[in-house]
Amino acid sequence: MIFEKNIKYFGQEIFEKLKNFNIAVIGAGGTGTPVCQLLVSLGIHKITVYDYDKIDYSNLNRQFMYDENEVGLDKSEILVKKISKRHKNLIVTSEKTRIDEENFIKLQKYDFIFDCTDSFNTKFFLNDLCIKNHKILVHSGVNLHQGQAGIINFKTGGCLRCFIKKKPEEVENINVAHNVMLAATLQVEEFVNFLSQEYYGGLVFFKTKPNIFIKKIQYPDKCDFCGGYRSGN
Amino acid sequence: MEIKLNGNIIDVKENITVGELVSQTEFHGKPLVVQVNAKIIEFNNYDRIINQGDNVKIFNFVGGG
Repeated sequence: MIFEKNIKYFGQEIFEKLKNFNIAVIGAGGTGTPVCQLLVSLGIHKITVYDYDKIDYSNLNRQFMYDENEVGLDKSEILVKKISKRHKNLIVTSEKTRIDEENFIKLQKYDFIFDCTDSFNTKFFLNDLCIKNHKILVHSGVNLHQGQAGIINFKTGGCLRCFIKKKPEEVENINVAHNVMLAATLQVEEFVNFLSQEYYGGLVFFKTKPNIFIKKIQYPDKCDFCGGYRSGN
Repeated sequence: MEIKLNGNIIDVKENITVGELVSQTEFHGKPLVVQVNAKIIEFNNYDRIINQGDNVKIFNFVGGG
């Protein structure tokens, strides 16, 4: 049985929850590829990958689901084709769509949305729309030796703007395989933690140079953005 | 005086502010999350004095993926 160890690890109840989730992964790049692999490995059966980008040579240093002979092909299609082979119960689909305000409605049907995008612009866009539309967003960001991951939660409050009020200016992101893997792993770990009773909201920040330092920073009590949308308010 | 910055003990001048500390680090000019003794310090409070033994965490908020 494929998931025998998962049931021992998570317990039957959490495993059943995971299996039945319907998940959207936005971005099939550095974090998106390992996130999809990790979600399939958790036993999740329904995943849709959103990406409109094509595979480029510069992706191959870290996006190791793609090969040199696939340069120029659609990322989401190739990723889905490869992870679909893991087991016969998977329903993995691809959407060559750029999510914007008008088509955000496409994401309403998912239980969780994973932000695996690579710009502040898209991250804050997803953050804001998920808070406003009452969707749980599983965030990560990574650049060079630093990153963060966590749950953006409209129910209890907790969003990117709790920490960073204004969307920062874009910078060139310089990423390699092991740093995006770390961000993806923390992103999925926080997602699993979120299902447990002991979970508390915040973002897990990491810094790997000169020494590894990882710390979860709890969301502040007050946020002018997500505070206003908190359940019950 | 000694403070703890991201898990490491470092020496800083007396009465250093959060803003001065940030300006002396690699984090200067970047979008940051700063915490002193488990309390978030917003940018408009960067004149807060850091005291001996304070536990400071500074993280650069990043947007790649």
